[in-house]
This record gives sequence, structure tokens and C-alpha cells, in this order.
Amino acid sequence: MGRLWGLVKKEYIHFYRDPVAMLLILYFFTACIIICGYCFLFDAKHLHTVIYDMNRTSTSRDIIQRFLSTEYFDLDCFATSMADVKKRLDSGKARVALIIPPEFTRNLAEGRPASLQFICDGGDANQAGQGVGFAKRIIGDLNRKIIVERLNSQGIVVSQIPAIDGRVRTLYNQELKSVYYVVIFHIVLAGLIGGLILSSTAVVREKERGTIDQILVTPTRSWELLIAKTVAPLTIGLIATVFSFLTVFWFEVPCRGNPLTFFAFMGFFLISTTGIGILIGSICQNMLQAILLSVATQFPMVFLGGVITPLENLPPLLQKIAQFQPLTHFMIAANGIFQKGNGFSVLWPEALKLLIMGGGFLLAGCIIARRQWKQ
Amino acid sequence: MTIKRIWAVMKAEFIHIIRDPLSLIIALFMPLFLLFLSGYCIRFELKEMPVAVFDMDQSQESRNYIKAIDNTSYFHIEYFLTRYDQAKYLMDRGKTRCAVIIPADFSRKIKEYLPANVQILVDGSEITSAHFIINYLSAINASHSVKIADSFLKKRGIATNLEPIVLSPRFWYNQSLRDLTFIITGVFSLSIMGFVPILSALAIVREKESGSIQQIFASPIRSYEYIAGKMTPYVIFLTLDFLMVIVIGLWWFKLPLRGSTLILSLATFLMIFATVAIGFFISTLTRSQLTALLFGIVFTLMPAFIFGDTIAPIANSPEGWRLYSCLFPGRFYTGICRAQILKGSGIQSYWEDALALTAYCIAIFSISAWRVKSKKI
Repeated sequence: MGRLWGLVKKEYIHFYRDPVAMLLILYFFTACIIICGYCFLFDAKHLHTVIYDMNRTSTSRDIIQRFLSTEYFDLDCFATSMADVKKRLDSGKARVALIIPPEFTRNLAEGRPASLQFICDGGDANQAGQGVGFAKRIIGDLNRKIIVERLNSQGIVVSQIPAIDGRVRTLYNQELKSVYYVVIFHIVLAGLIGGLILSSTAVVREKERGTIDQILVTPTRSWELLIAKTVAPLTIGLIATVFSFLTVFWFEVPCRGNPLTFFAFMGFFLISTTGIGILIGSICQNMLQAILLSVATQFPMVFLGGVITPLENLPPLLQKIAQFQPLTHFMIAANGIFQKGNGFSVLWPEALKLLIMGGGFLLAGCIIARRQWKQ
Repeated sequence: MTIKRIWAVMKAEFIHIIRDPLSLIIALFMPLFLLFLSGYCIRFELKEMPVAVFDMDQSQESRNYIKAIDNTSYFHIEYFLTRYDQAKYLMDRGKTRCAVIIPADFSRKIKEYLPANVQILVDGSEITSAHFIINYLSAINASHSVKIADSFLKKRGIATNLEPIVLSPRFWYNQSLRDLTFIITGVFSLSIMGFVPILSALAIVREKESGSIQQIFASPIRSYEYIAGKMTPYVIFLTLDFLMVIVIGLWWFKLPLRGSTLILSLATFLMIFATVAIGFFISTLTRSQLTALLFGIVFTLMPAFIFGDTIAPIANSPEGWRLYSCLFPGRFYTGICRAQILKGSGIQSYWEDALALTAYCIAIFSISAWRVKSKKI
């Protein structure tokens, strides 16, 4: 037992003496999250709008005002020609353009369909779609108002016309701030990359420096060494997670569930990453390879984790594959704990899956590492 | 300046690189890997999203409305609720992201030609799908409203245009709104900036750690010959890597190339040069390989994702961060890349990006060269 504790202590000392690894882990758990919290935003707000008003009446000005007074559209400039509009969109200075043709008010007055052109930079389909959605809603409201006025003027007294009035109530995140999701995701990501790098470098360090041979000569059993190499990254990862809560406070991300539940899940998740990390560490010969391969491994896990795209959007085969990796379940748990206030009563399936996967990966990693050491 | 000296340094650097084949292979194949992952795993459009419905009205009108939602390819009515709180229960467990609550007076309001309220509960914890759900449901509501208003007016014998103002959306550059084009052009920038620079960051550091840098200083080789020799292998590897990525990206994913290949090539060459120079600059800063690796990841790989305008547009960020992002060439290159691949626009639309990229190259190369020359490393 004393041997085991000695080995674990050794791992901590290694980490402590390696300021680079420490800084890297700290970076992922704090600075990276903060940067992404500010810069990784998907909200299509304040879209730069170029406006080409060929109509120039109070009606067209009213419409323009309706657009610009929302937080969705910010004025880029008033264009004086179509070429102008094209230039602004081409250069990316404006993302959308509103074009009001000269005959607009005449068509409106004479009861003909009066069309407005709304041009989107289709390059970012996500934002374009959102932009059109907002525009359609603004015009929809205006249309209803116009129809009521017209009917009234024809002597039909109605205050409104029938319509489906959808009242949207957003659960968990009233203002639909994307920063909450970004921060939660990045803490999970930090756990992933940090966990992978910690465990893979722990294994490779010995190989690179040649000290693995010295250890193998001692009466230490390989499983004792493996336990040490599992316990250390796990605990360091959990401590780093404490630091990441600073970003939670910074961005005022709600934590409606119990933070300790989150730590438990992070622990379960780190078991998997440690297992994969040990596997990586066994394959690589030096630190550079270990870190590169760790970074490489997190890509498929992230892309197939239901993080960037919800899993329902993916083809069924990929959805099935996604179920077999730990990030998918950890992300569900993390989101559940922070935003939905879920606890173990709801999330126990995820916990179970994480534990099973963790055990599996850890076992695989340890077997391969041990086989290597035996040679 | 003798080519022989540059060639000698180049050969030595090639040998150094090849001595660690695994790192090279990972660095070269990562972009390709990323390309296919991005191409196949990123889909923002909804497909058959499961929706819960609580129909308190149970009338012909409410059933018509529910059918209108179900008939689209975006939504699929999966759960018929019998209690209001079941909606939150399902959403808590992630079984559905959206619930439509139809009140008991729905059909009465419609028959009396009043606006009928419908409550839409949306799971706000996942932003992109939340936005899509709200947008699409609003569109469905709008078109269903038009149908109802139509019958209302017909019954009264009034003929009037239900859409006085028609908004005609046009999507430039990407008619079919393929997510793919946007994402893949982002991956191009990522491929250059993300991985090989980490290798180049170790270029000089290796020599410093082993002490052979002193021999370099003692030799008659000039600093610019040394830098040229050291950087060229990485430029070559990165160029070959990028050619592979762009050929596969354009061919496999059938991307258009509307602009000028020449401009794209020039910009690519500048970008490659810039990123290798960044790695090189990092190399001149530190004595330890590990520290260089750390800086490499923090200042090339991560900024490539965050500030390279790849997945999330940098235009959304606050002013301060946008300025900081100018420290990394990724965003300039993505701008030019998208301009050429998607828009096919002329020089006037991206000359700022091009100028910035060129200036960046010159600046970083000069700083690195100065550091080597003054032996500050």
C-alpha cells in the first residue's frame, strides 16, 4: 500500500515539476473557456444590414424603422445603387440587404402585392435562415396591421383578423443566450482534452526519459503503476474543474442542479479519458506525438457528441456510433445539471453508461500499456 | 547567399522531421480527417424533430393545426400529452425539445374570428436548435394563419389580399443554403493554421535544447539563409497537405470555385508562409520543446478554431476580441477563401484581408529574422 501511495505521489510531483503541462491544463479550463465565451457566439443578432430605399416615403421609412429598431438588424449603410449593395455584401461588411422598390407604396395603395427584397449572405446558412425568420416575422406583423386597416376602411369593423398567435416560452434559458451552452460545452471539452493530455503525457514521459525501465526493475507490479497513472490524472482533472467554475461565475451561467453532481459526472468522464489517454501514451514515443494524438482524438468525439449539431440531425448510423462514446452522455448530463437542474434521479442512465464505458476504456488502456511494458 | 547553404540546412531539417514519422503523419492527416468529419457530421437543419402536443381543444381545427405541423419534414409529432407538466418532464429528460400547447378555446376563437393563442415551449438549453424551432414554427403558424384568415374573409364574401407586403428572400452565393460550403471553407483555413505550425514551433527549439545552435552561430551561415533553410521543409509539407485538402474538399464535396484560382493560390501561399513563420517565431521565444509545444497549441491551434471565422462568425464577438483576432491570420484567409469559393468577387471586396495577410507575413517574418540575427534566442 505504501508502494502505491509512493507511486501516486511521484505522479503528482512529475506534474508539479512540469509547468508546461500545468499551464496547458489550466489554460483549457479557464482562459480558453473565457475566450470562447466571448467569441464563440451563434446568435444572429446585430446583423449588419444595408438598406436600399428606392421608394423614399413615410411608409418605407416606417418599415426600415421597424427593422432597425430590433436588436436583430443593425444599420450598415444606406446604399444608393444595386452595385453598392453588391459591394457591401461581397465584402462581407453587410450580411443582409433590404431593398424597397420605387413602386412599393403605389402597389400597396392599389391593393397589388407589394414586394420587398431581402437578400442574405447565404454563406452562413445558419445566420441567413435566422435573418429571414426575423424579417418574415416583422413583415407578418405589419401585414396583419395593414389588412385590419383595409377592412376597417371598407366599412368592416374588425380590430383583428384570425390568426394563430404563437406565444413562445423558452425553458431553461429565457433570453436564448448562447454563452451558457458555449461555456458548459467548453468545460466538458477541457475535461476531454485535459484528461487525454494528462494521462497520455504521464505514460509517455516515462518512456521518453527512459525511467520506465528503472521502474520495471523495481518490485513494483505493473498494475500498481497503472493505478497511480490513473488516479493522478483523475484527481488533477477534478481539481482543474474547480477552477473552471470561475468561468461559470464570470459568465453567470446558471447551475440549477447540484455542482457536486457535476463533479461526480466529470469524475466518471475522466475515467474514460484517462483510459483512452493511457492507450495513446502507449502508442506514442514522445510528448509531441502524445499531445498531437490527444488533440486528434478529441475531434471525432466532439463532432459526434451532439455538441455542435444536435444528434437528431445526423444520419442514423452516425447517431448509433455517437451513443458509444462518453462525450455524448457527459454533454447530456452537463447540460442537464446546469441548465435543467437535473440530478441523479434523471441522469442515472447517463451515469451508468459513463461508468461502463470508463471501465471499458480504462481496462483496454491498461492492458495495452502493460503488454508494452512487459516487452 | 549561397543556395548550397540553404540546401544543407533544408536537408538537415527534413531529416529531423522524418525522424519522427508519427507526428508528421498525424499533422498531415488531421486536416483531411477534420474535412470529412465536418462534411458529414455538421448539420444545422432540423429533420423530423420530435414534438410533444397537448391538445386541450380536441376539435377539427386543432387537429388541422397539428397536422399542419406534422406534415412538414422538420417536425414529427411524437408525444400526445394528457397533462401540462408532462411537457417539462419530457424536456428535462431530453426526449423532446419542443411542446405545443393548444388551449381549450382554440376552435372557439377561430370560429369567432379572433386570434387564437397557442403556447410553444422550447428547450432553450441548446441554442441552434432552439432558434430553428422558433423560426420554423413561426413560419408554420404564419402560413396556417393565412389559411384561416382566407376562409374567414371568404365566408364574409370579402376578397382581399392576405399578403399585402411580400418579402422575397434571396440567398446570394449559396442558393441551396448548403451548410457544407460554409463549414468546409472554414476547414481550409483550419487545415493550414492548425497543425503543421506546431511542428514548425519545434524547429529551432530542438537545436537550442541540444545545444547545436551554438555551432550554427559559429558557422559562416547567414541568419536569413538559416531561416530560409529551416522554414522551407515545413512550407513544402504544408503546401502538399493543403493541396490534398483543397482538391478533395472541392471535388468530393462538390464545392464551386467561382473566383480566381490565382488569387486563392496567392492567398494560400501567403497564409502558409504566415503560419510557418508564427511557428518559427514561437520557436525563437523559448528554450524548452515542451513550452514551444504549449505556445504552439495555445497560439496556433486554438486561435485557428476560435478566431479563424470557421464555425462561429467572428463578427458576433465584442469589439475588443475582434481586434485580438487580428493577431492571427486565420480570419483574413478565411475571408479571402470564402470570397473566392463562394462569391467570386473582385479584388475590391477583400483587399483589406489581402493587405492584412501580406502585412502580417512581413511583420512576423521580420521579427523572427531579427531575433535569430541578434542571437536573442
